[in-house]
Amino acid sequence: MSGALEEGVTVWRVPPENMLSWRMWDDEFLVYNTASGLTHHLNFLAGEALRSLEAEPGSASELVRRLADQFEIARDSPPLQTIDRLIRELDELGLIAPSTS
Amino acid sequence: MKIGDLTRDQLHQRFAGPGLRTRIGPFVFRVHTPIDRFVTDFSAAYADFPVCDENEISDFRIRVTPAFRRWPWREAQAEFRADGESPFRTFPRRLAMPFAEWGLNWCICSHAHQFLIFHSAVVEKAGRAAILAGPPGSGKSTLCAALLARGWRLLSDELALLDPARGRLFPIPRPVALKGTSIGLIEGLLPHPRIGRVFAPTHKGTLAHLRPPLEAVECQAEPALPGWVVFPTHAENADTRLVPLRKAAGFLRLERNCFNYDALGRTAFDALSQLIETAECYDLPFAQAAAAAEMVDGLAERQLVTGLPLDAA
Repeated sequence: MSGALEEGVTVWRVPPENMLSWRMWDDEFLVYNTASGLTHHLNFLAGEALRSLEAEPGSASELVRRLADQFEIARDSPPLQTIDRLIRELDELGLIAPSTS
Repeated sequence: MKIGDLTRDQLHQRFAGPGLRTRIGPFVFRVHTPIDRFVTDFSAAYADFPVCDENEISDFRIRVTPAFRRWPWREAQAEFRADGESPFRTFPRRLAMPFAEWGLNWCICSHAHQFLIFHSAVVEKAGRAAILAGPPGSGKSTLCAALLARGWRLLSDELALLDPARGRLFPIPRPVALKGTSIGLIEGLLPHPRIGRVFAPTHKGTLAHLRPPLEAVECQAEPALPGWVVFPTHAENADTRLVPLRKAAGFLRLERNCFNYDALGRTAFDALSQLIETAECYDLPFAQAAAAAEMVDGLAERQLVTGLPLDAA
């Protein structure tokens, strides 16, 4: 993870050069990253989190709020407790990056 | 005119002179060779393919020629070149036919990026194609031949050529490469098997080429829409059954069998997605090819009942 900002204020975004292509089947996502030429297989939560950040950059806490609202679950529910790790993995895959603006 | 219509002298004149031009699926190959045994093997396996006019532009220019023998105690060697390039070192001259077949695969996979190319057999029935994908040794050629015995049309034994723009599979009905015990097995399954010389040993074991059915060659300009993606796995003690696969898993498995996914990039992702969208995906562990073919045949029978649309592209 290359984010230099403090926890809670780092804003994550899908770099515009990624130009993601999506397919969703059976609650699973396949996403093609034009920048890397790689195809990624994401579970439902990872796919929805990435789609949310693609639509609008956000911090980890903002992402938790959005997903909780989208799926009508509590913000401290077990799936959403993994968001920090999920963000780290998406960053390592080059699918998102900390915003420098 | 077909290759099989040429006399032996005419064959030698063409192979040794301007080259024998023949259309195989969407490609024109121009083949040169002075090797008598290769002339015999190639012209037998491709007997039903058309001889092209000498003015027709060839996609690939193939030369199978004797090679320098560095050590006198080694058997006679040959080499394969396609437009000056070679994927192999030299090989025993008696194996010129199987090496030329592998060389043709290399030509197509290395250059024909107008197609998304998968390592798989493809057969068609009632307008829908089954893609039989898997690594070498998975039993796809054996299953392919068993399906031919049940009336399926051969599109390809080795390479699926998917047109990314329209989602159609183009035939390239070259000889079916049978290995080991499957040679005898297929002789028993097909009513009139036309199996050529048995090559042994090769680095893939004993090998022979089943001449493609006449109908497959005559219909080699007719593409088919994908209906099923099947991943066969042969094992002596397998419980033969069709196991439905989730679409994402089918996509990823087929991607691993794709030769030029990286080269085509997003076009490949979109084309493969479209294929998976319209096709059903299955694992098929099997012990007996005939039983496995019966199950795949059942998919086509079910399609005839339910009436899948044929214009999905």
